[in-house]
Amino acid sequence: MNPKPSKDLALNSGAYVLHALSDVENAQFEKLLAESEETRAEVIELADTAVELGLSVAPVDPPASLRVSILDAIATTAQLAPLSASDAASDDVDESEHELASVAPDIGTAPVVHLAEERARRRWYTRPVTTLVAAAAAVALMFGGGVVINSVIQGQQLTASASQINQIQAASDYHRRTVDVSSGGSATVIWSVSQRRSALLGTGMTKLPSSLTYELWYIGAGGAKPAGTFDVDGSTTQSVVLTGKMSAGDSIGVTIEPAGGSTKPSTDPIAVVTTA
Amino acid sequence: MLAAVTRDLGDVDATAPTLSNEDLLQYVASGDRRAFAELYDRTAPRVFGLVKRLLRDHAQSEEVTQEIFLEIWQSATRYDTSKGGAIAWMLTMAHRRAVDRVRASQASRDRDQRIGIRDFVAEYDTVSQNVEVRIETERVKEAMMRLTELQRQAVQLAYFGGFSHSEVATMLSVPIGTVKTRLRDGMIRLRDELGVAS
Repeated sequence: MNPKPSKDLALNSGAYVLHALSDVENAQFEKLLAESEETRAEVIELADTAVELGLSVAPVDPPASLRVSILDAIATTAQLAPLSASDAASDDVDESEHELASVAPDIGTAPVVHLAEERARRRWYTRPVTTLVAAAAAVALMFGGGVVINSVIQGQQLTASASQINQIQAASDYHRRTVDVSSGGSATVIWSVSQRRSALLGTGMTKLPSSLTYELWYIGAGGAKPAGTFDVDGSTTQSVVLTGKMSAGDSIGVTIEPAGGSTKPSTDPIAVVTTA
Repeated sequence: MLAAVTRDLGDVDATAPTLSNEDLLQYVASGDRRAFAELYDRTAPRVFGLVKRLLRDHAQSEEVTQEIFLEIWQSATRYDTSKGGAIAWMLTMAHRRAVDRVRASQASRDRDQRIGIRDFVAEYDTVSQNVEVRIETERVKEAMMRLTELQRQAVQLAYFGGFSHSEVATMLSVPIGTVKTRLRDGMIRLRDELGVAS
């Protein structure tokens, strides 16, 4: 290998510990880091030096409301599996199984949500907030809106669904997009291509007669693949994790189908979210 | 160093006065929410102070601080004591998250227009009421004085301003390559002045 690029790269150690590199350079540098003991040793010391800079900043007491909000959020946020465990697991292993344990105990103790609080949460949720805040809120909504749970998440265990939504929103490549639903209301789709998963959060969608159901689709080069059905009861926000695996570039569509669902869309979609 | 900092984080809950932050993280890793609350109480002012220093905006600083503590909660299972103290781990994470937000938000570009280099460079005089923080601030301030002007400005813009090396290059009117080496030289100098050794 040509020694010069790696020597130049090694000069990035200062910028690296100060988080001043571009994403591309950062990745290149981390590759060097994995290879070069010398660079690694330097980075450890310089990173500690950067921490000293952080320690020289005057502490500021955050508002008490932040503490409440964070402690609320962790009650419904799954913890990551320890590295050794996930290293051993192959990509396709559903990590939610590891994580159920930390979510499940909270369900029994989920507080009764009062209307005002629920409104506040809806406001919180509908704001374009950041990843994890939204994750916490989405999960809080699911726990809060008890009526939603049975009607929406057919055949899916609530804990699994909450955990999966949580995981999607914790993904580094998490995205969200909201579109109007032509039959009423709006749909927010959240997705992570790396996890190959997505979920839909519907707000104000029309309650359908029992002979019909909403059906979800992954729409890719090979056409539309069914990704589960769901019904709404006309209240607040409801969420459902799509079944099957998402492929990069898939759009996510919603149609209205006969009860029980179809294998191919039989009507025009009432909502399509592109993810490319 | 770390011991001093730990003490300085103050207000140790009577329920766990003897536990170090590292101990608390171990409990957090097993899903202990009380330990998390304790860790939060000890460290949140540090994290929030740093985030606010970079972002300025109060609401955004709260959002990012929440993200950071959720990440701490989620990834405590992957915290490795052999790779450094809890505060170092948390502040490194906090700085990265704050920088991510600076880069991502339109607000940051507005911020850059409002705040010049001068503010980032001259802000050492914020006096903390906490004696140990003040000592630490003085130490860093003195070490900073040993850097060349260019090293100092580059390090301060990058760390406290959250600017990328190319932004720093533009602000200081020097080539990017120069900024990279100045950041490295500056950090090495600081390391030596502050007596940081692994």
